[in-house]
Amino acid sequence: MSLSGVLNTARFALDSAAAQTALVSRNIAGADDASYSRKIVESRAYSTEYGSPQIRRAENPALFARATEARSESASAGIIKDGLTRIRSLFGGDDRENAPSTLISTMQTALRTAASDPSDRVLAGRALDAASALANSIRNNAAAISGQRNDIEARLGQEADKLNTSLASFESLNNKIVGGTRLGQDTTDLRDQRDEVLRNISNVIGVKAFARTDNDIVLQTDSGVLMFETRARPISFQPNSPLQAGQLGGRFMVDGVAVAGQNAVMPTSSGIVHGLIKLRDGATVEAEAKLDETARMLISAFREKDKTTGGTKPDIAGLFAADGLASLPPNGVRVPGIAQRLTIAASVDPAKGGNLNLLRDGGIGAPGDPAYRSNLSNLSGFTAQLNQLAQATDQFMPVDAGVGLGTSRSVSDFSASAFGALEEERRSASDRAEFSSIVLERSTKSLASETGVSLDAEMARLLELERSYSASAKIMTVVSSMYDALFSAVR
Amino acid sequence: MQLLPTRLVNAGPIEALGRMQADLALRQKELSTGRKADAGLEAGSEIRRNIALNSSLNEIEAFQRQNGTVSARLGGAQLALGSIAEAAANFLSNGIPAREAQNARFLMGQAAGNALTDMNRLLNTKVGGFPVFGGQNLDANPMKDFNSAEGAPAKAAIDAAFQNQFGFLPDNAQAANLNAADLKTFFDGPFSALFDGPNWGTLWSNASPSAMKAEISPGVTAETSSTSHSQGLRDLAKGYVALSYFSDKTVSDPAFKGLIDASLGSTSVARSGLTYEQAKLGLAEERISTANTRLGDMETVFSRSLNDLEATDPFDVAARINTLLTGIEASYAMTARLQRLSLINFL
Repeated sequence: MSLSGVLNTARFALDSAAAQTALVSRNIAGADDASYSRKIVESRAYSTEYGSPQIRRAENPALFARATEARSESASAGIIKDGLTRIRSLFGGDDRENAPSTLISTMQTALRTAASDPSDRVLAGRALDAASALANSIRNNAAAISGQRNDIEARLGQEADKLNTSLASFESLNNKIVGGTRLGQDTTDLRDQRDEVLRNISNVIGVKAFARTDNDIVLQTDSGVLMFETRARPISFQPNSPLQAGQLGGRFMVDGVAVAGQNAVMPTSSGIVHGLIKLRDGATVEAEAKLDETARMLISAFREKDKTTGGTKPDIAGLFAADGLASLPPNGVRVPGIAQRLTIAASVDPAKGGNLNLLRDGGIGAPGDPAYRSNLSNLSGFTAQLNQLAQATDQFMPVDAGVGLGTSRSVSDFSASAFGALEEERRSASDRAEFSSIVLERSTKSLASETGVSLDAEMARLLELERSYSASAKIMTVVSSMYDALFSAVR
Repeated sequence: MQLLPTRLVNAGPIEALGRMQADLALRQKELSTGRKADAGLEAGSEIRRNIALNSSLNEIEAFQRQNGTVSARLGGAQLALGSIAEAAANFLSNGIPAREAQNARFLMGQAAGNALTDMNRLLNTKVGGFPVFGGQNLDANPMKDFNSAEGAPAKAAIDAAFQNQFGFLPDNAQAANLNAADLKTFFDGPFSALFDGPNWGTLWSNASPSAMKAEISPGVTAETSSTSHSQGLRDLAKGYVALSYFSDKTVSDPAFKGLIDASLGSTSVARSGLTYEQAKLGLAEERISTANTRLGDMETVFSRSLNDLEATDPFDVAARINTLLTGIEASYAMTARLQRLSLINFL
């Protein structure tokens, strides 16, 4: 090898060191960026052919796929848990002070106390207040759950928009990457950005990525519907609003295929969309059904009968009634939306011009009709009616089997079971959320430990580069002095 | 070997810190309330048992409160009945010798009048404003006062019955011609009828015939007041009224003696009736005290199982808080030291 060849190699080494130093500083700049992956230069120090150094990034497709999947899982589990927590919070804190079960017990106690002195209007008023608080709480909670369902419906529309935007930017990044790769440009930073967009998409809906040549990527939902292939496919959501009680919401479509909602053809199983739809068509519908059934059972438990011997008048609603309810709802059949209309009868409520004494005398549903009245001789200490009211919530009665809490329960037992079912659901949702968030944390960590930047490693690399740079410089000095010696000998 | 990315190294203790701080907040809440921070999350559907226990405890408390007032009422009624029975016994023991006395008519009329007033007063006893002998009518005194305007219908009814039987009023001069047997017949017949059946409710008493009933413990119903409708009280009133009303009428002394005999007879019949009433009240008191014992036992058992589900062990919580605080401090120290630990500082 000639001296000029040595000089050439040294010069190439200097170039390489400069390029690598630039990369070290790029890595250091990205050390705190979660989406940045460590860049590595493919050194061609011994290649005689001069060319720009090839840069690649630290990556692990398998770990990335697992982290993506875990992110979708965690997003859906988190949404479900938050939704259930929101439903649970309607019923009060640790004392469950706003839960039907608690308020039923309070009302029962108040009625019993009123029965100990039926002439005491203060005690009767307290019992009526307790009944009124129960009706109000059920009505307001049912309205809040209905509101929550409609919020979800609105949010699904926003998520569809977000997904369309994300897919559009994915498309433009993917185009640049494929084009750049074909031209042999450095596309590593673009690919980091595209991974970041993919991360956002996986948060919204379960997604699988397939790599093709030239760093091209194809996206499918976790159920196999094409979301992106060279160009973005349209995402749409047709809301069913306002949602009525018990009504299922609209469907979420990817490229014209229903991936979530009723009768979804290829249902997705993770992501925010999945969580929202599970809440909208699952937990909230169940909570609504339980409140409806509690309301209907209350109306039924406090029903009033024709008390005349051989009387044939139909049973009518008593202390509890529902707005717009013409006759008593049939036994053991849920009436969707009745919880939102539950009230106490105006005829017994002094605030609405009613007569509080009807609580003691009976005939709340038809104050003018003596057939429904119990206290016919108008005794101020009449106990039979109040005793009967105090026991009403403990009487077994038919329950709609569709609600999933048996077919024959008392109202107080039913409401307690309904609350228990909610807590059970919340517990398992919370467990799932915790588990999936740990999986997400683990998989993101193991991915990051492979692709992230260690400042120490970069500094050590910098030291190395410094050494090799001065070594190359030294070689040039030595070659230069050799040339000097040669030229002085020639002269 | 590849070095761990700096971001992960630094984030390690911070992540743990977040979890520990959240946990600390929950444990502190537990320490101050003595209850699990989110019992429902831990218990799941088991919380149903808690709800049932809680409502049972509420119910027990309401029963206990109610039984307290009911016991006081029944006690008041029992005392009043005792005094009435005692007065009846005195009336009998004084009446038998007084019958033979010169002024028997005056003595017995006076004694009967007083006994009647006392009996009415006692039957109008109120415990905490609550007329205990009123049955289910709490708006009026259980007994009408015979000697005031309230008693006018009763007096008129006696006069009418007398007129019907004999053809003249008790203060008519012809009444002096009646003999003891006539008056005895009148006493046992039309006069007695005034105290029987619904007449009692219209002429003498404002109470309703049936006593108040309430549950005194889950599923157990008992009478929780008394009523002045009992037969013993009717018999007693009958004897008292006869003597006090006819003592100043024109009936002859020998004839009045017949009335005294009838009255004393009615009084002694009344005593066994009163004993029956007292026994009935005693039985109700006994049932309430049994119910209270049962309620107390239930309360103990229920609150114990409630504690199992919801309560926290303060020592356990305190120990966990200590551990958390140590962990948090360690994490602070580690974060600070990790920040210093970088190759840059050594170049």
